[in-house]
Amino acid sequence: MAIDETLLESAATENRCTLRWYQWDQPTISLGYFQKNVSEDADESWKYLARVRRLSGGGAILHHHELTYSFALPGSHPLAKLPPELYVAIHQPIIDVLAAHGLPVQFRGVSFRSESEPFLCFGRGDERDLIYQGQKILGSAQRRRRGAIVQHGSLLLLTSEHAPDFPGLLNLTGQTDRFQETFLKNLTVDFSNAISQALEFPLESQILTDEELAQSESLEKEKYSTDEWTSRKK
Amino acid sequence: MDQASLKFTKTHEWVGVEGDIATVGISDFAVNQLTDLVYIELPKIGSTCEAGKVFGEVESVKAVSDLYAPVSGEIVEANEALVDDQSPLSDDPFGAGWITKVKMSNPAELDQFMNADDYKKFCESEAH
Repeated sequence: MAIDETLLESAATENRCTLRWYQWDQPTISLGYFQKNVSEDADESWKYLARVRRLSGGGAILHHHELTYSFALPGSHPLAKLPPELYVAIHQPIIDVLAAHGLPVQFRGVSFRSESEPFLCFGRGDERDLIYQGQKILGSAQRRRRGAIVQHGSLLLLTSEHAPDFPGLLNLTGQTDRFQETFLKNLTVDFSNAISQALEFPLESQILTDEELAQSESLEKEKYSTDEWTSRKK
Repeated sequence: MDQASLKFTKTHEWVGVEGDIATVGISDFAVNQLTDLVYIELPKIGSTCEAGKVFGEVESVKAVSDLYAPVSGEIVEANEALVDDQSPLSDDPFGAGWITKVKMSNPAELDQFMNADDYKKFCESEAH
């Protein structure tokens, strides 16, 4: 999360566009920015998992057997003036790549909201979610700052034992044996190329600059790892 | 408020002035761009704000955006009704959707803002 905020700052101040793919070293709940962090919202199966608060909106995500992406877009890009369209601009190439890998998913096409939204994001419904046979397998959220946007999202590949109600794409398609490092690497390369082409930004593999690394470490220490931030006691 | 009497920023906040008190909100253009608003965090009464700096946040569906203070000063009122119901922001952005009132410390900051006509032209250029 600290790196994602750093990349948003780089987009806002350095005009840098970045696509990042990552996984989590332990099952983790990420809370939406405005969500309450209260134990009564937590099911027994995941109430003791690590938690972090995101910078973006939406519901909580249980990050486990998934691929997570973040995409930082500078305000100078035409899509920055049309933030809701960025969801589609990123999700469509993901649909195309998954189809090429024999995993046909589609946009949900309709949104639904209730007075009391489910705690977990994967229980909520947005028209731009990606679904397989009605089951949500990818959702995204955004943070906008000074014209720049960071959008991140989760591709649910395998069902987590901590949230069995939300099946992974590979479970739904009977392909769980594909969840291996080579497959994940191929997916991320293909996703990156397809998104780069769709959004017309050149792709160049890079590591964080020294300044970005220092900023991320500072944000991690002073913000994202603190109970004050996670519980939003400010 | 009568839109013709308001001043507007490039970040789509509006300001209405009575004496040294500035009433602040976000424009209909901003609300339309944000789409359905579901949360707002208001500035705290008694706190100070600085022109151009973040003084609040809103969430439309799954997207959190910063709100920027158009003027510097002390927050003297906040529209607490918006916390439970954000619909005035979209239904009546220049009236019941006001966000906060600021006792200005530097009214000269108002000089840099656009009037309603110029702001309309600015929005048209932003939309293209």
